[in-house]
Amino acid sequence: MAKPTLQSRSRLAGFATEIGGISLREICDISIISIAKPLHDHALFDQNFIELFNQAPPLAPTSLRLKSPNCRVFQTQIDQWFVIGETNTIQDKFDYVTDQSDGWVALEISGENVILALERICPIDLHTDKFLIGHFARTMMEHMGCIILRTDTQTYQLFSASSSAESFLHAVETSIHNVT
Amino acid sequence: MIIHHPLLGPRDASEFVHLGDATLLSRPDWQADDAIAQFHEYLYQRENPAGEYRELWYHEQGDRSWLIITRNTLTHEISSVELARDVARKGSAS
Repeated sequence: MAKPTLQSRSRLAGFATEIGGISLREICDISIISIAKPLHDHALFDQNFIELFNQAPPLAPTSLRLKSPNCRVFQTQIDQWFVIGETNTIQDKFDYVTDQSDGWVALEISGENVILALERICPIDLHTDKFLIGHFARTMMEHMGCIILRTDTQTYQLFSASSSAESFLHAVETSIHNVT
Repeated sequence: MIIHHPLLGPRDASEFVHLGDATLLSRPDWQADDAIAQFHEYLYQRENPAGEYRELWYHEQGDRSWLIITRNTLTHEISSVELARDVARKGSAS
């Protein structure tokens, strides 16, 4: 019997393009876990979080960017956080951990006119004085739930459901075409 | 319509789903002697005020929190937004 060979494939097959000075690409091989506070034991969760990250759990809209472990942490709902990046070393620290990696598709959009493209589909106030580097928001674009995270002056990461990855990409790409 | 989420700040109403009367948080005791009467009241009887009304909204396209919003049904003015969790813990849903 032939031995099967499996290969991982990202949701958008590593999509990357540049349209009118705005670049859009899929972030591949991303690892996402969610960690949540037990209902009646917040103190232990906070203690473990501080031991691991040297800071208290960040509250929306601020995210926490760390070098060791190499990850970003942000609050997705009350008493729940996403850890994106190097997640394999931290899972044992928390009682409620869910691997979310397969549930999401991640895009990075950047360029001089990136806000022009985003403001047409994103209901969040993205003014650079309001939505600072490191800020994130959980919202929707074109009726699809998503998370928007500002990682640099003109760079944003967008996370949406992997099941509708191509529709989400189409919405973002169309918005770029509409402003370039 | 903009809803000022107590944790996230101003958000568009399109991110939310409206459920209804905030008294739905106060579920009757199913073991009470008059449980049937209480549940009839709970399920079917609603106030329909022309003025301030407390209602449950769900932030579905956001942080998935339940909110209690005090809204004027005549003007749509929102005078208060609270986390339903906090209200339930205080026992002041009605």
